[in-house]
Amino acid sequence: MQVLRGLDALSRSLDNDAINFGCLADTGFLYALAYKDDRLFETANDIHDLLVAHEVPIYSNVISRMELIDLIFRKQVTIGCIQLFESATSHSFDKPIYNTLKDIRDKNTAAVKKNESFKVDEGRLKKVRKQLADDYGIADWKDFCAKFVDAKLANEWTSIEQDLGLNFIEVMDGQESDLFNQPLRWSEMVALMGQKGLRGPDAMIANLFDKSKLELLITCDSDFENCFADQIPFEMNKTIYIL
Amino acid sequence: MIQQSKSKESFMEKKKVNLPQKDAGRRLADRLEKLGQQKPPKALIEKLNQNDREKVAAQRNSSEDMDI
Repeated sequence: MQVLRGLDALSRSLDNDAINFGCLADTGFLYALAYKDDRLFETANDIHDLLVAHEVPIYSNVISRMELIDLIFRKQVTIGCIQLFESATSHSFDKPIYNTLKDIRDKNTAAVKKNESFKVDEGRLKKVRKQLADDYGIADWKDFCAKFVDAKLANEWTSIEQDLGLNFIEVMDGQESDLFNQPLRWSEMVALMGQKGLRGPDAMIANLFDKSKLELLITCDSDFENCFADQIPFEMNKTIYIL
Repeated sequence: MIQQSKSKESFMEKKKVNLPQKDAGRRLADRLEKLGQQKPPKALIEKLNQNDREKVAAQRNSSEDMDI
C-alpha cells in the first residue's frame, strides 16, 4: 500500500498503474467538489479532472451517500438563513429568531476567514425550524425549505450522481459482489472500530476498502493513513490519496 | 496492459458503471451557488420586518403616553 499526497503524485500513479475497478471516495472529497467556500474545492476538482481523464469510476458507500446529501441540505439551509438575516430591515435583538439567524451569519463569516465551509449543525437547524414555526407558523418554514431545498435538492441529487460519476456500493452483511475479494462482514467493521478507535462511518470505509477490489481511496482524513499503515494486511496495489 | 484495459471495459460494461464527467464538480458548484442566491420567501421577510415595525411603533406609543 502506498500513501500519496499532491496532484502530481496522483497523476504519475494513474499514468503508471492502471485502475481497473475504481476509487473509493469519502464524504469530505465529494463535498469539496460542490462548494467553492471549501478550502479543498480547487484541489478536489483537479483530482476529479484526473479521474475523468483516466476514466476512473468513483465509488462511495451508503453512509457517505447519506452524509453527502445531509451536508448539502445543511449548507443550503445555512445559505437560506443568511439570506433571511440579510433581508431583515431592522435589528431586533429581543427576537429569538433574529439572534439565531445572526449567530448563523456570524459563524459563517468566521468560517470564511478560516477557509472553511460552515453548515448549520443539528441544534441550530432545530432551533431555526422551531422559532420560525412558533413565531410565524409551520407554513413559513415549509416555504423557506421550498425556496432553498425541496425539489431543487432532489433534482440536484440526480445530476450529482450522474455528472460526478458516483456509484454507490450497497452490500448486505456477508453478501458477495464483483467488486469484492471477500464478503463484507459487519463483525469485522465493529472489530476495526474497537481496535483502531475509529467511528462507525470511518471503520465502514476502512473495512470496505480493505475487502474490495478498489485500488484507490481518496480521502480528506489523514487518520486513514495511520489506520491502514500498521497492521491491516493490505494488498500491494492499494493506494490512499490524502487531499 | 491491453489485457488490463479489456478487463476494465468488460467489468464496467457488465456493471453499467457511472463514469465522472468533465467539469461536473465546478458546474455543480455554480448551480448550488445560484440556488443559494435566491431571495427568501417574500411573505416571511414581510412578517420578520412587520413584527419589528409593530414593536417599534408600540414602544413609541408607550413612551409618548408616559410623557403625557
